[in-house]
Amino acid sequence: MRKLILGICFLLSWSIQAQETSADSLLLDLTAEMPSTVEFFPEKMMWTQRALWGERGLYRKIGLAPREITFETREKELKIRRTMFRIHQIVGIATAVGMAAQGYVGYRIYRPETYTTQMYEFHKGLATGVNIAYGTTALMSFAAPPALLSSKRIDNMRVHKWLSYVHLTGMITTNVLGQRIANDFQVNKPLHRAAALTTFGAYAAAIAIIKFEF
Amino acid sequence: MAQKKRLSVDPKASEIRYAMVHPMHSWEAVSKSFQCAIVWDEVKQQIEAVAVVAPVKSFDSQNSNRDSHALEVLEALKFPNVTFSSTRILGEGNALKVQGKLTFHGVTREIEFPITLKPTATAVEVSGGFTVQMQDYQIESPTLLGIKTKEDIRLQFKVLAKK
Repeated sequence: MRKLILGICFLLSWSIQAQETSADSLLLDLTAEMPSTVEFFPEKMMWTQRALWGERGLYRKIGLAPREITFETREKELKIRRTMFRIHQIVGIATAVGMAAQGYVGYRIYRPETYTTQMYEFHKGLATGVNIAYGTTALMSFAAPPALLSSKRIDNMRVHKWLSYVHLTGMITTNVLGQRIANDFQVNKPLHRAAALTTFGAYAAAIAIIKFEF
Repeated sequence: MAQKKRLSVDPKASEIRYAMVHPMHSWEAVSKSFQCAIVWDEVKQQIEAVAVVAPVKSFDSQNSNRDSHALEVLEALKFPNVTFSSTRILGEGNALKVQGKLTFHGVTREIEFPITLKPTATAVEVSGGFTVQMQDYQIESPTLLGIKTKEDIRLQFKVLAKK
């Protein structure tokens, strides 16, 4: 009886082992059939990313990034990318808050009854802060190492990038017109406001589109 | 007639899908570019063994930025594939339980999940699903605007294997 039970246990464990071996050997066959090419870079990259981080990028030539691209070096670069995009998101939100504050302060100084020299000086100082934050946000995106994938598809992140060209143009225009208000008060003051509102509209849309996928 | 045979999977009629949730939105990603091998017992009309290799890069959530982020989080350069090999197939008929080893992000764990078979004269359709926790596979939860996704990854699959 004991021998019979032992025999049954042996056959059962052999059967389980055989099944496991069979599935493991299937897995080995499948893994061997998989293509083994590794692509470190996507097909398409932003021109700034290619210029800085591409295989012949500036950072590799001056020693800021390794010349030889391996799994380890590319993984480190992807971690740098992730950190830069976290900063992009945080400083980007702070920039939006600064822009909204500028809109409120600008509204008050545009009205004669609420204008004060102190508020005007504050508006100029805040503009410097917003410009620095905006520039940092932009730099974190344009100068980040490239992602692993690119796509030709038009999705919400592509629209987010397109809007950046609108608000970048708007930021430059707003700043230039702000400097020129003293030259031609009647013309440049409303233009400066229009440019600022357009910039903020495009910027807010660029943030909002992250939520709305299509 | 051989009792057991290895079935070939029809890639056009097969897919693996994963679903995740972030407070800002939920999404699904689909892979139709995976390798799957099924050993089919023609006499018992049962699956004897199954193995799957799914490249992480093959999952498409319709958003390349998110898919790219997923590859970074999953360290796809180091661990390019998710693999599964069965250790036991339990049950009889068309409602079975599969036990096996899932290797994800370089971590192998034993899992068990139900499957449903729909055999015909020329093919077998196998469908099922299971949920994994990212922390079990040492995966750092991806974040968007500083907010992390939920830990669960819900996987579902439908495979059509031709006899």
